[in-house]
Amino acid sequence: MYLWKYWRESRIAFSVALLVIIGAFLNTFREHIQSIPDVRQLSTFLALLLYFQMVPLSFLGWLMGSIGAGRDLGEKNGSFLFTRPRPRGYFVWCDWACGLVQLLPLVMLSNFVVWFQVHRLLLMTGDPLHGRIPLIEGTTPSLAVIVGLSCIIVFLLVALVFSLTYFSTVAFKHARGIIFAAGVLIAYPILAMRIKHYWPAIHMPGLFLQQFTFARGQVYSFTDHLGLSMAIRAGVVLLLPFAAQLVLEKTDI
Amino acid sequence: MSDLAIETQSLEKHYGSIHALDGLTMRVPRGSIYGFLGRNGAGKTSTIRLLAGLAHATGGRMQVLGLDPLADRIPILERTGFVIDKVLLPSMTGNDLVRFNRGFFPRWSDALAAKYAEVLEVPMKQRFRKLSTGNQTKLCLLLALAQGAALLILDEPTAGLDPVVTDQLLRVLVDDFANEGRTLFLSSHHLSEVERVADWVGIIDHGKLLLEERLDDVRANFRRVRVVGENLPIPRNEVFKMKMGEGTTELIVSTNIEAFTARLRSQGAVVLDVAPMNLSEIFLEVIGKGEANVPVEVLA
Amino acid sequence: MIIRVQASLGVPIYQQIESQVKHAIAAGALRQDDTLPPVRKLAAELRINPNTVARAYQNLERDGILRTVPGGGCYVNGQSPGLLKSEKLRRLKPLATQLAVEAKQLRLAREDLMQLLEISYDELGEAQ
Repeated sequence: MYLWKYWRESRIAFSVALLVIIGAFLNTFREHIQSIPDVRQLSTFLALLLYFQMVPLSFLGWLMGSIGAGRDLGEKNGSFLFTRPRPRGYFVWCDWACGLVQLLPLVMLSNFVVWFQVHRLLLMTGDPLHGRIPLIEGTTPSLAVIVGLSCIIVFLLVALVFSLTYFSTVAFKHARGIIFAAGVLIAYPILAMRIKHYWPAIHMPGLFLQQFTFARGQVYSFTDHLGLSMAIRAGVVLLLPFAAQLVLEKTDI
Repeated sequence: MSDLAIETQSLEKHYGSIHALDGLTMRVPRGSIYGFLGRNGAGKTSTIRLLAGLAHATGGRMQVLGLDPLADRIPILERTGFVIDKVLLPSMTGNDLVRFNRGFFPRWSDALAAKYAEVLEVPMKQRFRKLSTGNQTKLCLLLALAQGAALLILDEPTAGLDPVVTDQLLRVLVDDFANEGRTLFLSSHHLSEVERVADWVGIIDHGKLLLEERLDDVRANFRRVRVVGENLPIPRNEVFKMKMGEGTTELIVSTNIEAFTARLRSQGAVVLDVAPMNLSEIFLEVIGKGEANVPVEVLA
Repeated sequence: MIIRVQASLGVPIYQQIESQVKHAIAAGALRQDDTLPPVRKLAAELRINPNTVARAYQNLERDGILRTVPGGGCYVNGQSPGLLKSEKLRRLKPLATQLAVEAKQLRLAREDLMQLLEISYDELGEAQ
């Protein structure tokens, strides 16, 4: 019953995003690639695409995060919604799960489109490494692995944006919460850059986890300790709905 | 099982330095219709929000259907229907809302929902935000009634409604209430409506309950007495208010009227008349804002 | 019969209902074995508390004026034969006292009071 409510509110955003991704996919067919690409440049092109998709997907995560219990609090529906006989956590976790369940396939589809695009290019180069892409460092990870990893990393970022926005709309009763979340997401990287500028020794974790390290404008290698970084981010993402639940339990509605 | 549907003991709710509730002690008997009366800002809505578990009390205790609203909120919500803000999910139609609500309540009845939709003439296919205020309130009430609740708590259900809709609502409430064992707790400004349907009234002002009695007793005991006489032996504890005119004294009393007037006569006073008071007048006198001879309907 | 009540009179609503029923019987508008509407229906029509209607009906039944049949239905009783004259007088005494007190207050003469009583009695026509 309650899951249906979230779906009702999010289905337009979901459908539009789905159509856009499918449109991007169909668009790849229309392209005519003029010259045969250099297999060593592929990694950079791949990284660009993978990183670029984070922007619209994060935006979508921000949009989806503004739906749910927070929005109802802002519209003064709280006295109706929270007199339904369920624990406060029920509403939070239903909203949160429903949002992520919609975001995950979109992330995967988007990465699939990237994979498809690069895969085509790879075939045109003759695919000398059998589905593998060379990095400057010397390693040759498979395209599938890179994209698979990207799925997880992008999803973690989108989930972080989504969870932060959701928590903010609950804590600050919707409108102010959305703006607050957007503000944090914009301010944080700026803050991180400033800190890096003045105190280079301090290394603030980026909002999005960079899969690769770069050298001379090209992809050098995978970032160290990717597994650990992903786990930490997953932890932060999970903490946020707990925090939202606490807010709903402790404050007056 | 307690014989009280709602009970509070010295309930307090502070917002910073503002004391919305300042030691509210209230007892609502099971199976009664209880009219909770007070001015704007007296603490009616604060009380109801506390009973619904939407807010946390600063002090004191309360029980709804024998349970604590903070520890046992879910069982209370299953058995209690609330209409507080009269706002529902704006993009849903009446039918959507019935569908949404159905799964939450084990005693939900689609038949009741349909019946009240028809009786109250609520358009069930229009989105909530497109409905008129009257229809919105009716839909809120419909959902609360179809829950099959043992207790209904309504915060000013007839506020802002025209007389026709108010009448429809009252009729439905009374008809539904006749299913035994239900308790109806409603806060209101429309004293003439409360006067008809309530068994009990509780008058709240500045966060405290000033009066809590059976309405029949209030009706039987409150009188406006005009007497002529000098140095009248007026027992203070029975007189709410005394107003001296030229040779005439007006007393607002709450007591056994025959004994009171007999005592006055035995002292040589002449009782000019003894007039009953309607609930509006009683309300105004109890909260201390009454003026003689001006019964004023306190509207929302 | 049509019952109408006013909430703001200072007279409890159940008493108003009882009075109107008794009045109707006395005036012949309600005869033996006529039915009164069920509690729930009357309460909804009048927009008053069902407990109030129930109380009125209970009092009328206690006084032998109504009888309820299991399965619903409230019927008007005939003149109850078992009521002694002394019992009838006992019931009317408070009303008589009230009338006397008011009359004395207003300094109404005894004869005028008796005349008033006779007129009111005759207005009701043949008792059932």
